[in-house]
Amino acid sequence: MNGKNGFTGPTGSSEAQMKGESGDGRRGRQPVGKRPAGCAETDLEMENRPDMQRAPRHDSQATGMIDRSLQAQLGRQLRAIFEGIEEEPVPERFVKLLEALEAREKQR
Amino acid sequence: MNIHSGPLKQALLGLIPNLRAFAVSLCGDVERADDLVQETLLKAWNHLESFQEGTNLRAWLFTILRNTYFSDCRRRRREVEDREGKKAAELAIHPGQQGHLDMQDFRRALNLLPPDQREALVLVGAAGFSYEEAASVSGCAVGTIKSRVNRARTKLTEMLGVNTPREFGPDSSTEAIVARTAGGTRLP
Repeated sequence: MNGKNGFTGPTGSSEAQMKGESGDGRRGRQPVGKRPAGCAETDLEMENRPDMQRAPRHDSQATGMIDRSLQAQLGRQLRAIFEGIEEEPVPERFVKLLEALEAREKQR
Repeated sequence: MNIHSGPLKQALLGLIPNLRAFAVSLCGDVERADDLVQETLLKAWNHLESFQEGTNLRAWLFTILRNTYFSDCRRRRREVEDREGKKAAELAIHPGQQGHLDMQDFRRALNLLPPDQREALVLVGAAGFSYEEAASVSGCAVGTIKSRVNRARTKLTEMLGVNTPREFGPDSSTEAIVARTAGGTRLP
C-alpha cells in the first residue's frame, strides 16, 4: 500500500485498522514520527486520536473516541463516493476524444 | 519516437475513471466534472512536452485538473459564494439513531467545504495520495495539506452535527471503550 495506485490499499488497511482500534485503545499513542511514509490513509484516521503529548482532558478523550469512530465513518463515505464513480464505465465522449486526438496526430 | 503514440492514449484511457472520481468529488457535479476531465485530457495531450517521462502521469493529470477547476472557481467565485451561503443556511444535518450518516447528507456536507479543504481531503482520503504527493498536486506545502485535511474533517464533523458523545448517542460498546481508554491513561 503506497498510495500510488491506491484504492484497494487504503480501504483494506482502514478496515483492518477499524478492527484493531476497537480491540485496544493504544494505537493512537504511536509517536508521530514512526508512521510509515506514504501511509496517508492511516494518518488521516489516526490524527484525531488521543495522544500522550496532548493536554490531558477527560472530555477531549471521550470526544476523541467518538470522533475517531465518526472519522472512520466519514472516511468510508468519502471513499464510497470516489469508488462509486470510478467503477462507472468510461463515457463514450472521452473515448471519441482520444481517438480524434490520435487521428489528428497521425495526419501530421 | 512519437510521444503521442498508442501507449499514451491507453494510459490516458486507463486513468479516466480515476480522474472522473476526483473531478466529481471535487466539484460535486457530474456534468461539470466531465467537462473538467475533457479539458484536462485536451491540455494534457497538447502540452505533453511539459510532462517529464518517468514521473507520475496520474499526479500530473490531477494537477492539470485541479488547476483548471480552481481557475474556473476564481472566475465564478461570487456566484459560488452566494449559492453556498444559501445552502449553508438550509443545512441541518443530523445522523440517525445509530449515528449512521446518510450518504446524501455526507455529499451535501462535502460540497459545502471550502474547495481547497475538500481537495486535500479527497486527494489524501480517497484518491490514495500521500501528503507529499497531495502537496505537489496542489502546489503547496505538506503542512498546508495536513492542516487543510484537519480542518475539513473538523468542519464535516460540525456540519454533520456530531460534536459530543451525548449528541452522538453512545452505544454501550463505545462507552466501554471510552471508559477503558480513559481509565487506562491518566484520570484523577
